[in-house]
Amino acid sequence: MLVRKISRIIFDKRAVSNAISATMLTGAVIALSLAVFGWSQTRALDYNREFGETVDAETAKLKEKLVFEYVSYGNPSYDTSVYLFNCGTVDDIEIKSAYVSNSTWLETFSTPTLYFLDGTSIPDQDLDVGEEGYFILLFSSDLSSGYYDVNIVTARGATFGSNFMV
Amino acid sequence: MARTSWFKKIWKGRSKGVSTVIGTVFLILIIFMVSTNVLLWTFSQNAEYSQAVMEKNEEEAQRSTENIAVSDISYNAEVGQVHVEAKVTNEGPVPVQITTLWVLDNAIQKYGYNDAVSINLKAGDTFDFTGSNALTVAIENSGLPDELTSWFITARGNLIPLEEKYAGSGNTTIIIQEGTGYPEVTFGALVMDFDEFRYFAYMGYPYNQLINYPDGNLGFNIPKQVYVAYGCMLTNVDPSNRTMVLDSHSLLWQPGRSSVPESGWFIVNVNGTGLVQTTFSPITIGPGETKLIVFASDNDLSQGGFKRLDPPNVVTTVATFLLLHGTLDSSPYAQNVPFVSLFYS
Repeated sequence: MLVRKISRIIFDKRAVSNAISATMLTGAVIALSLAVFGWSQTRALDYNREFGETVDAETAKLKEKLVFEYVSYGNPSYDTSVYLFNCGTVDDIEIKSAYVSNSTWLETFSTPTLYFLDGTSIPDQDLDVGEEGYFILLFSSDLSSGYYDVNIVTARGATFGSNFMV
Repeated sequence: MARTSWFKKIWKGRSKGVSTVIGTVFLILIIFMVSTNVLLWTFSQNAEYSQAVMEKNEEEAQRSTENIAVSDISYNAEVGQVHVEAKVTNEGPVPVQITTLWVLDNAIQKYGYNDAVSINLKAGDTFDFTGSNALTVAIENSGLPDELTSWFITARGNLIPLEEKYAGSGNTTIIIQEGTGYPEVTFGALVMDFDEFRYFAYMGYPYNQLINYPDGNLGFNIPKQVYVAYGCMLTNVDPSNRTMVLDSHSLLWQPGRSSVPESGWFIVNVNGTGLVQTTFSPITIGPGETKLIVFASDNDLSQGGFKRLDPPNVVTTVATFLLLHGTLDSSPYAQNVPFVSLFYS
């Protein structure tokens, strides 16, 4: 019985091509499916990573909190000293830019140098939690008397603002 | 059952549609796994962000519930330093940490801070920083009775004003202890430095040349019956930040008493070598500026020539007043200030 079956498999060639083609087609489908699965998984992981980074960045930005302790204009000269305090819950707040404006005028400052309150430069140029510091804005001309806004943008994209009078 | 049939169909060569089924199964699996992966990750990230938002809201709520009451505020000052005394009470429900004290001198637009403050207050706690616990803030050229504004910074970032404003009154007298010497006295728009009161003797020739000008002789013991001039260090501390101009009608006056005759030394100009000028130009003292003012002439130099004056020829103590006359900016200014006592011997 067994011999007959084996000999039939070996010598009976009917429908062999159908079986082979079906096997090949199935194999191709499986291979292609695995490839698609791998590609999809990679894309999903990329998406997850980017989404995670975005969420982390937004979370860190949310945790940033800077308070303007004082904004001084004209002391000692016509510069503006902006005193800040990091009272948030995230370290390494870098000041990317600052701008001073009123209703008709705007002047921007890129990456102002941060100092500790004792006047020494902050080595890492950022404010950690609980740190106080200040930066000085040197205007291109004297400010006319009036009410001015001062806004700062951190490296994470958070913005904080205050005002001062001249 | 179905899977057995597919194998039989393939085995028997009837495999139409099998690959389609397998492909569909894989497709469903892929969609399921990828979407599940992305969804779960998104959910976890959203949860993380929501947690951060909640924490932020909690912080903001705590920040807004901070409630500090400040009472019994007083300022004392030396030149260049302000000592702030007060009581702070945490009247809110959350503990508060005070980290920094700022003081702004509005008159001279100078400010200072003390960032070494570390006051921790539980709910209901009171902290008394009076006396030796007074908080000191250095402000260049500051001195009472300037208009001061001050505020605390808390660890949560709240700015707490100690007082809306301190305005020195033009009618009050404020004693300012500087170092271990005599106190300075603020009277109206002037600070008089007792420690710097001096007298000058004259050279024999020229008759109007002061000896050892501008240092003179510090103190209140004056040799009798010797021609002398007097020097006072006066600082303009006008709260309105005006410029003081003293004219020739200003003098140092000693009222008469029993055998002591009344005397008055009128204000004079002195050049750098100590030579008293025989004519007088008004003396200007800017806001916050300190000048040595010399009183030497028996006559008001707008009405008569310079003439030296000698003290009484008796051993006695006399009172001395400053009678100042001039302007503060364009406003008339005149003050009668009781000043030092002098002992002639």
